[in-house]
Amino acid sequence: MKSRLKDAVIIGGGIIGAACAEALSRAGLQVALIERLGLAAGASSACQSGVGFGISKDDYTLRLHLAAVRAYQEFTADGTDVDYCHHGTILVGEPDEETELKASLQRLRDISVRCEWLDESTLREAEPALSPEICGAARFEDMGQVSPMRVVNEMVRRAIRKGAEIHTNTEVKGIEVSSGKVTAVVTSQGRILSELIVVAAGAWSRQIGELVGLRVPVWPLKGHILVTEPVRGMLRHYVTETGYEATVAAMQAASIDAAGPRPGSPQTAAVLQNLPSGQILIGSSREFAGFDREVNRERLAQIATRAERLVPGLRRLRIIRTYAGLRPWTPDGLPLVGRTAQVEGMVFATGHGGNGNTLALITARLVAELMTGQATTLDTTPLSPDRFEMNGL
Amino acid sequence: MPNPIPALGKVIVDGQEIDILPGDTLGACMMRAGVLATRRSRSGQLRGLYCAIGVCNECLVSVDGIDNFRACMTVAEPGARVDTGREPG
Amino acid sequence: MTVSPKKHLVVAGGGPAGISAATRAAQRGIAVTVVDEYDRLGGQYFRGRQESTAAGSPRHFFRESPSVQIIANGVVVDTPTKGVLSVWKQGGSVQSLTYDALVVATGAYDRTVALPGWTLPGVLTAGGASTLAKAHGVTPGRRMLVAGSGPFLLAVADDLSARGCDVQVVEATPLRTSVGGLPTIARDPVITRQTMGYLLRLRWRRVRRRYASMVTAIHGHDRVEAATIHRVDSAWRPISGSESTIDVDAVCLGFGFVPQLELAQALECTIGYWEESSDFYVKTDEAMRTSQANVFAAGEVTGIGGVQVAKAEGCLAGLTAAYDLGLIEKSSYDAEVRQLTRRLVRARRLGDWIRRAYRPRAGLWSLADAQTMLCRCEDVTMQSTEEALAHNPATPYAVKTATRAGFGLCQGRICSPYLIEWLRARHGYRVPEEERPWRVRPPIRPVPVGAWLTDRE
Repeated sequence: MKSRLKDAVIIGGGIIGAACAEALSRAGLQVALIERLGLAAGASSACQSGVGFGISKDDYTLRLHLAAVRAYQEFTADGTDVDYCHHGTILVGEPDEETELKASLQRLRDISVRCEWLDESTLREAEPALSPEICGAARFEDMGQVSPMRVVNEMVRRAIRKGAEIHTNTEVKGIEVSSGKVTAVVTSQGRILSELIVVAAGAWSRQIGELVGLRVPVWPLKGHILVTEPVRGMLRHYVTETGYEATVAAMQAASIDAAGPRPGSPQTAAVLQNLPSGQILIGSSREFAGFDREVNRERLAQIATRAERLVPGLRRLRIIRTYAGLRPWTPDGLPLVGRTAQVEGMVFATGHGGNGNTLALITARLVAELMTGQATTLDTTPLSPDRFEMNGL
Repeated sequence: MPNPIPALGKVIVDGQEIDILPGDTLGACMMRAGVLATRRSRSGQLRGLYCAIGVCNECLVSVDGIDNFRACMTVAEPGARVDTGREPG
Repeated sequence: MTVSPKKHLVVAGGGPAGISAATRAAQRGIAVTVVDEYDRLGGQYFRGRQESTAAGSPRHFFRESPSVQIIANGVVVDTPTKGVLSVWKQGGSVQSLTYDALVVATGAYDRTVALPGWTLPGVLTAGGASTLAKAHGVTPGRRMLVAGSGPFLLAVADDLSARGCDVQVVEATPLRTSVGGLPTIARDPVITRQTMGYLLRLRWRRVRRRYASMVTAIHGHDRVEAATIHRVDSAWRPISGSESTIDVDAVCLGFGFVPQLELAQALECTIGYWEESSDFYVKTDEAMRTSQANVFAAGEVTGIGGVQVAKAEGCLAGLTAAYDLGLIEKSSYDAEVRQLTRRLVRARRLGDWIRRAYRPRAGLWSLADAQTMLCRCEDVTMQSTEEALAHNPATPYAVKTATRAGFGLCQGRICSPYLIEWLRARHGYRVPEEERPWRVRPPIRPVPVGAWLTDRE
């Protein structure tokens, strides 16, 4: 690649980077996307891919996720096929959580979220595969799932049609800064001149930040998945348990020292995703283990055990594959979306934790709005990278 | 060609009775009876035994209501109810 | 006086290589366990040949090695730590096996060749058709083609025609290729007798043999009804205008074999690749040691070579395992190794000739058209594959993630060897040193969720 001039360079070819490439090239920018390995080689090919939201007490996070779900509905309204289904999510809680859950559901209904409590007989009909020991659960109508790999490929296709360049198997070696402004990206295939860099490198965004002397608060949070053989319509919904949010919260409580978040106890919670192709993705787990993607057998067993408790029929299904992926975790559980004042021209679209798939389209829209000076779909202040002290390595 | 070995019993494949000979897998007795198709693929194509040694997973049949048995590796038990021609997953 | 416990050798795979290794090691005082996925030993070679008592046969094995433990209907599904295997038994649970040495003898399966109509019921691999005929006396039809490349086609045609089928052999190489192997065959009296037997019986049964020809399309609605045959050039490219279509009700495709490498990969043994013949294999030294300490490999996994190579390699692996565990004196080991090595070198002559002479040529990878399936599990067509490559680099990884090829039940065993060669032939893909072929995590074979559960209170 000869030295060339681009309006924007996107670092990272996962779902966030690909969506940003499409949004920015659709907005008229000349874009180059740089990916170290292949498209979707990071978390985007090693995840579960529900599209939805937790019962968060935080009003902003909820609004962000609702906008995210709407973005998927709009994206697929013309028939675009990325395996997006909004079959709904069932959230199973412990018996003593019923009152609190019902209250949360009412609060959500008050802001027009479509959700309801299913009592035992309704639940049996709605999701017959659930354990008979479960007497009730919450159901969220507009949640669903998507295929991140298909989203990546569709976004890349569209971006290329709008003139974007995609460079895979290309490493970022350095970022040139002059008088506090980004001027170029140095890659293993040559230099690209640009005054705008979008860092969408997921768990590797911290390493990118180091190239310009920034301490980006993103660290890998490892998760495990077991994949079953294809089965005909075993689950009608995305199925998860309230324990899931507890695992997320437990990780958010991690203390961070110079080396990053302290490991603490690994967390597991059942999350079940029946793909359109029939396989069930069985998750989930959370632990800080650096960049190690080897599967931990004990963790797999823990996940299987929690899952089988919710859906006993899983017991006889065969597991055909397992994998581990690295979520880009941030200390406050919100992504970094937007410019940093520390380096002019440096934009972040990263740190989505376990919500990357859900938030990909809304993130790309926000980034495009910010870069083209438009009013943003929602307030991006809570997502500002500069809410963290990033200066000085 | 007349077969002097007596049948062990029968399996019922899609409602049709098929003889089992000693040592038969489901795939073997079905093939002997001229039943080649074991399932429909994701896009609706009929499929049957291909590798016959348990690697390809094309010969998946339902046995007594449970899916995803490899016909080429599953011993034929008398009385088993086998269903084919279905969508996987 | 303390008696030190016997050393334990696990042999993964009970075919000719595996049982040869088990016999040789047991003779030297090692406790041996053989794990095999079938209910009887012998691998594919001895299916339907259970009465054989030749060295390396199951009956010979049971006579010579009564104390060897056998886990039948079992398969190694995980290698959690060094020296430990997880074995899954059909209908049972996962058990742990510790080993001091391990022989990987997991055999091979037919090479995939995608061509129009290859997914129709009635299209089988040559190996599959042979197994069904020998083990169960069944054939997929009455009037069929045995198409592909290599002397194995003769064996399969023999098996099928013996059961009354009307068979034609369609060999991709010209006659002179097979004639060129006569000197190699002639040096082995057993193989000579076998080959003469095939040729005489096939002639007697009026089995037509076509050379420099390939099946280029298979036709039918719900099953095979006809096939198109083209004459081909030396690169196996169909010669336009040379086609003929004949009525058949089954087609057996036999283009050689590919090794089952998953266990070796899970153990992180170094895997090699012969570009000229499109063969992956487990790398070993001359005594069958892999790159992992106390892990040996024998048989088809070290390179497709046939049964005599498998037996010799198995003996060598079992012997070397015993030696490396300190159970044989060096002079005794050296003498036996010399003898086995001579036998192995002789046996490899035939296997090496077959590999070179009948290696896949470029035309093989151009038979598939847009509608031809690449991945049978997920129904990914060649067209989807081409579309994915419009905006992706030409790598198996990119095709897999863009199309879901390889994500189904067989986990890429059928489509990935073909995909690699198709990418090499048509898109300049080069197999990299460090990526051989796809990463293997547990389970190596499917295992029910029930076997993964932690202990309940």
